[in-house]
Amino acid sequence: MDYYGRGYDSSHYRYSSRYHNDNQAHGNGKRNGGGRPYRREHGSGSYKARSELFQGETYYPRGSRVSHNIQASHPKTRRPEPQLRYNTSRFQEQYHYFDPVAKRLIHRDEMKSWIADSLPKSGYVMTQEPQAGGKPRTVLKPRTPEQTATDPRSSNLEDRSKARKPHRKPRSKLSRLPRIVYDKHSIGPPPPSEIVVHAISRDPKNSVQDAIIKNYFSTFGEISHFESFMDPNNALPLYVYVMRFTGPPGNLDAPHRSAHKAFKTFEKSCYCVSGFKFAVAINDNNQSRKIIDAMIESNLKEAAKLQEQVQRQQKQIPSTVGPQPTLLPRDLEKVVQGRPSLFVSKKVISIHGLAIEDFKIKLAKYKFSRIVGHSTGFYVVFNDVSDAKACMYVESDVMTVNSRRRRKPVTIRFTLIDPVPSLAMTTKSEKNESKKVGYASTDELVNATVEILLQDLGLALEMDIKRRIVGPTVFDMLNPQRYPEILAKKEEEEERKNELRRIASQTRQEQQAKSSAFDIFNLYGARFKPKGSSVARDRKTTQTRYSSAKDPKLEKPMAHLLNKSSRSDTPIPSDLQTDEDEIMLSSIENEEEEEEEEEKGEEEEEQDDLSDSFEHSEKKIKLQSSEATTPEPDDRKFVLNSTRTEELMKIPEKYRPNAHDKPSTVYPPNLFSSSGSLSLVDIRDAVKDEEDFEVLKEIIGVSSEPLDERNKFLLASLLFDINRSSQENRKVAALQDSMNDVPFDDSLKSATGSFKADGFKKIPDRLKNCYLPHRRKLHQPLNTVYHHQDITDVNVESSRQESEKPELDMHAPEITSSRINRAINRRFQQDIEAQKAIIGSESELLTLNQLTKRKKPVTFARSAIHNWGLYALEPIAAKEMIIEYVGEILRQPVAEMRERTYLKSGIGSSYLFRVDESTVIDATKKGGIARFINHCCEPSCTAKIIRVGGRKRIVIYALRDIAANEELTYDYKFERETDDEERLPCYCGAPSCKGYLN
Amino acid sequence: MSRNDIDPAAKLADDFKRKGYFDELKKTILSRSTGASESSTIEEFVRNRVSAVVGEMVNEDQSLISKNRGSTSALIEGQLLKNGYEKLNTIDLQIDSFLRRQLDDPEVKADLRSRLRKDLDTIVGPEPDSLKTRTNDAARNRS
Repeated sequence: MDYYGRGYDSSHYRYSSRYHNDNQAHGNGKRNGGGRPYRREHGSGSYKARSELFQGETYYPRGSRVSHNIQASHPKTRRPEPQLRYNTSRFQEQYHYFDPVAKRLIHRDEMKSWIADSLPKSGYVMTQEPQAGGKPRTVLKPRTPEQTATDPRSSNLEDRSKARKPHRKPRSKLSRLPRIVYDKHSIGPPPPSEIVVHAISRDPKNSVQDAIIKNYFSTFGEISHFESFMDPNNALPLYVYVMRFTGPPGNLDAPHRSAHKAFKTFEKSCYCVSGFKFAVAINDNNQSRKIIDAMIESNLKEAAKLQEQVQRQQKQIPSTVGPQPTLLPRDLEKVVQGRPSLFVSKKVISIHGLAIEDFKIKLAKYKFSRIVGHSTGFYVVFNDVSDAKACMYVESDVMTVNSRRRRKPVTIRFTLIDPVPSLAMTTKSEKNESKKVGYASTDELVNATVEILLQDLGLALEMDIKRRIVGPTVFDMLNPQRYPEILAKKEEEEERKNELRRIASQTRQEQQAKSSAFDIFNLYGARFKPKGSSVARDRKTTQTRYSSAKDPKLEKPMAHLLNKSSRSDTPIPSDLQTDEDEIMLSSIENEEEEEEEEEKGEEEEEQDDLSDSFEHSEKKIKLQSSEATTPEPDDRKFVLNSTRTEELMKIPEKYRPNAHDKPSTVYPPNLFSSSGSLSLVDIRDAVKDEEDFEVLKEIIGVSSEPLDERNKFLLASLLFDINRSSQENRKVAALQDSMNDVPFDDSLKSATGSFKADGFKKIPDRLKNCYLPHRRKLHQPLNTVYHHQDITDVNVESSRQESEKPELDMHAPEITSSRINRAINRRFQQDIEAQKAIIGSESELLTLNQLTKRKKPVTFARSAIHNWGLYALEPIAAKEMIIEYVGEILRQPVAEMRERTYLKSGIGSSYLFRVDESTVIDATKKGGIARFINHCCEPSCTAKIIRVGGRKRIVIYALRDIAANEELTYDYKFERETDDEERLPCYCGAPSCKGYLN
Repeated sequence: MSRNDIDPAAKLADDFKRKGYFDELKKTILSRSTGASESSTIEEFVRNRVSAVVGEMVNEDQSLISKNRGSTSALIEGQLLKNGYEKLNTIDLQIDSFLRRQLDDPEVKADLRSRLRKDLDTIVGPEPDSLKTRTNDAARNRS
């Protein structure tokens, strides 16, 4: 510490001392902290003065020990006196340019003034000046110390009106400090990561499960801790939840963020679930504790209140029942008839707007006879006192009726009104009694009886007339048989009507017959106009792709069909024949080529003409090529004798003639590539010897002149260039050939040199094989099938089925025989059937498509024939079923319409497959991958229509053994199209290809 | 608490009916000659009138026959019985008044009385007390 302090000091003073040294003119006195020697001299003095001052200021009394020892205590309060130690190595390093003893710069003599002619006197600054293109340039600018600096903003201030308004708005209030994200560098407690969810209002009838809350809030972030709280007094849930969020281990801020997000979401609204409303708050400062405590307290209070209420009620009940003998109002006595009743005060009813119906519903389980509304209140009238009492004891002050005015239930208090035999009742009964007694004499009785009887008789007579006489008579009279004349008229009418109806139906039938003759698409509007001949043609075209339905073979039983080989259908390629042909052809070509080469090989010399004449000459050569022939000795076939052999021996060996059927060339024929223009290099290479050269000269007709130096050089460089470019071209061509088997077509080359500049153009399918990878090598297995680690979608189904039956897994992959495979499948199906029987319900899940079980692993990939093709993933034996052609089953008219709409919407390739006259399977929009199978004139598969479970299905079978990765094809069997425009070209590439699909 | 219990007269009337006298009486009234027209009984008269009226109605509106017979007949019946057989009545004979006349006939009344008295003697005579006690019981039960 001490060392560093000193070091610092020394370096500090070092600078000042240097400064001092350089400016001797400035007085030493001015700079108190100047040179060290100086300080040293005056140090003590100044220090003394200072110490005196210090003493004056100090609070220590003079006599104290501390004050005496003030010198000794000085190092603690004062910076130590700087000292220089010149001999240390550190010093040597630091003062390598300055000698503090001599007080001069060591390298003074070597130093030069920086001022030079090229530099401005006043010094300069380097500034970056923007340049028109690219980097800014560094520019040296003279300093202008005499100019006073101005604030650039002041100029803006002056013409504020002109100046643009600043983008930023003036702030009207303080902006919020950005939140500092809590990370590993943060000090202090982590931000709160807990939230409290507490119920504001609750539904007394409902409860909320913790899991619901937890699940919901886990959408904001991962919850590490979840706690729900209970009331310790009654163990009922308080509906207060504390959740602590957590996040990924690296992200320390995530917990707080999710907590904050949850809080923000419900800051203004409440979180509502099944009648509960929850408030969400961040749990800091023991918020949860506070909430819980408040809730417990309020619950306690409520419980106390309830208890009080209950106690009060218990006290009240006996008193209210006893001494409140409400009297039944006089006007109700008749209605009530002395029966017991429960009284509900009018007060309650009018306040809450209750209705009799409310009570009827609530009291439905009691045997009351009626409820009477009265100005004083409601009276529930019972037939029996015990019922009334039971009802009162159970329901009084307990039963609640929902108020219609206020949204709360109202407790109802009943008051029992004891049954009092009412006055009216008694009088009435008395009257009855008197009446009964009334018949003093039998005469009276008889008279009364007669009265009664006569009254009854009158009624009975009336009834009799009505029921027995009038009724049946009227009924009889309405019998239509009674009115023969009307009936006759009616019948006549009926007949007429019938006639009319018959005529109408006839006409309708005729109309129908007519309309059925029309195109059904009449119904769909004017677009589908009936067009006699065109319809027929359309039908024909649609039929083209559909395989012929009335194949007599298909009438055979399925088992036969499945195993029947239709190999005879497909033509056998005549490979041998073609091979021979090819050989013949190629040999002929060879000869021709050779000749051509010799003709073309004649020229070389027009290098002199340089580039200009170069192309021109080529053309000329081509034109001449038909005439110019190699001079060949006529005497090739002369018989060999001694003189002749002698003669022969004179000829150099190279040119010596040989005996052969066909003439052969001296040099192996140079086959120029037929495509592309002939380059100078080709010609040069063709010239093999003097003779060739002479011929070439002759052809071009140039006399060789000696070249001067410059021309020679030009020629050499030109030749070099041409040579190199031709080599490049050859390499490219070789590459193209090796990749595509087909030379790149010249017509595909861009005319402008840039494909982008050419714009869009349609490239005929024929040419695509010279660059599209999937179009090359038609007859070799294509490598367009990509196997990924995971099973492709094709296999998913089968693999799933296999996984359903693990014991089958063991042998499934090795199954080669379709017979065994089928046996296993049959067993599997029986299993399924058994399970179905156990389940006892028709489940779609268990219905088994037998065909999918027999499906072979296939996939689709780009095809050489057309867009996409279907490929076998495994070798497939002949006659095996491969795949079912799956699609929507349509009726004929629908299929026709669809084909038209597909054509309209540009779906050119048709995936409609005819099953029979009335059924078509459409795999365009919905269907299996069997739709990708292409047509081939020499197919590997065939499509058959078989019946499975009463339904006709299209199934593709292998015609021959198919290798893995081989494209599957079948013959579309399109009908022959006479119209050339309609014919579809076939690119199947088979040797026996007909060239057209139809 | 039927009427019979309260009123011995009603009971008597009931007994009377049970014996078949009431129906008999009814029949006699119905089969009594109307006197006004040739047709002998009121029953026949009504029947004829009804068929005549209905026939007229059918002739007016022929669709009546083709409609649902049951409901149509009920509707027609209602019409015929309205306002004291208004449609069936003729100038000579009003059914309503005729029946009333028959009921008010003193002859009938006298006949009834004599019969009732005979009944009463046979039923009430032997045990009038039991009848009374029973009624009293019934009265007591009610309260």
